Amino acid sequence: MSALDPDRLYREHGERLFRYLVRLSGDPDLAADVLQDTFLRLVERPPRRHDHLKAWLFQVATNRLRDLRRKSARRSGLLHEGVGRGALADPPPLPDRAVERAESQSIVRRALGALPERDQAILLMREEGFAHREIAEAVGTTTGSVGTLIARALDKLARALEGMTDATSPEEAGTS
Amino acid sequence: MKDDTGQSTPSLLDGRLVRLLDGEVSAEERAELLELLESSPEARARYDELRAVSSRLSHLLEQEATPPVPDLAPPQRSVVRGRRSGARVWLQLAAGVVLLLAVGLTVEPVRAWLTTGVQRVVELFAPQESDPAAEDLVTPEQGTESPSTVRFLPADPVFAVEVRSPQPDGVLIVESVSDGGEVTASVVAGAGETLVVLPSGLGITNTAESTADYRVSVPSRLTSVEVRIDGVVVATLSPGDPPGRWEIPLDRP
Repeated sequence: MSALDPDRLYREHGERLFRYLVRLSGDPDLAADVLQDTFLRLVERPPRRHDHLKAWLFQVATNRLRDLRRKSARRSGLLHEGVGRGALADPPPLPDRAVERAESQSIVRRALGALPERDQAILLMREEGFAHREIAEAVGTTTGSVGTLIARALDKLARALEGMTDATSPEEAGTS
Repeated sequence: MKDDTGQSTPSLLDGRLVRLLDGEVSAEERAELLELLESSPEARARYDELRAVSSRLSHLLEQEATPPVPDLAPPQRSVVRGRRSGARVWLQLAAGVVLLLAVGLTVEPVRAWLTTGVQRVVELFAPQESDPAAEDLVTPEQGTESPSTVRFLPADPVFAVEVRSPQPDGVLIVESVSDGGEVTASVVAGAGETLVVLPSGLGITNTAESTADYRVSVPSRLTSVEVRIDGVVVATLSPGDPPGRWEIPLDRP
């Protein structure tokens, strides 16, 4: 069995995994918790095989995020409506260009939030430069089917974005 | 969308077009697909459509400000985090025993099992005094007994380990031991899972989101240990013929 170096893995994948989790959850604090749990799990209970560690990290993180979301939903008694999980904390004031950025953030957040979780994960892993083989490993499917899954997810995203654009101002619709 | 070649269903063609977009095709397939895009306006339109949505997603995500990555220093964290407090576990297990007794005494087979064996059967560990400083150094591999451990004498040579739910990961280790007649079961890694002593054996209460490991040591005098996950028998072990150790993945059935 090859040596497992959590420090190295954190340096190699931590930033990418954190960005993925922020995008998937919309909540940096939650993402940080999940990131921490994921690497804790790596230390406590490393995978038996070390040849797909990146996919393993993303798979564990995705599962952990799902777990925490469910617990949070149970506790609060609220079902998320795709409004974004950033509502858990009061956002700071948004000066200048941050407003524009926040609007864009809101669009992509709501559009992604309208997709099934697996589709979100697939698209976001792809954005992180995952090979189809790695996506397949992380979401538990075959490499050959990943292309089709991505295409379907993109179709759903396009419909969701279309809906968002219809609901926004003409100026905003023209920004993309 | 239709495929001019007649060889691919729309979804298969979609998959191939995405692979082309992502550079996941061989040189041969790439040439074939580029030829198709030249000859089929519909395939071309579909390819452009997929590329446009893909680009738009990338653009929107790039505009997002990602906060800096937290500095976690992961290997230094305590591994005891998943363990529950001893007092809480003790209360939960005590409540479980009371419930088991209350329910069990109304059912004849269970009552028989309880009356013949309860005095000597169920021994649940009380929470032990622990040194917080030392606790931070404890790892599951060191095998110290924790409150998430139960030990008891099985009532029957045929034994069952029932795992409530399959998990995406994790393993159940069953090992036979020749000394003593007790079953010792523990949650090796995990958080929130519980062990329950059943009349027929051991119950592991987990969820489909659990990613825990469990170790169960059974006396080799048992003739059979049946492992069930979500009600499905996934293994039938013979602990004494010869004594052995089995690792059973929990990502089934």
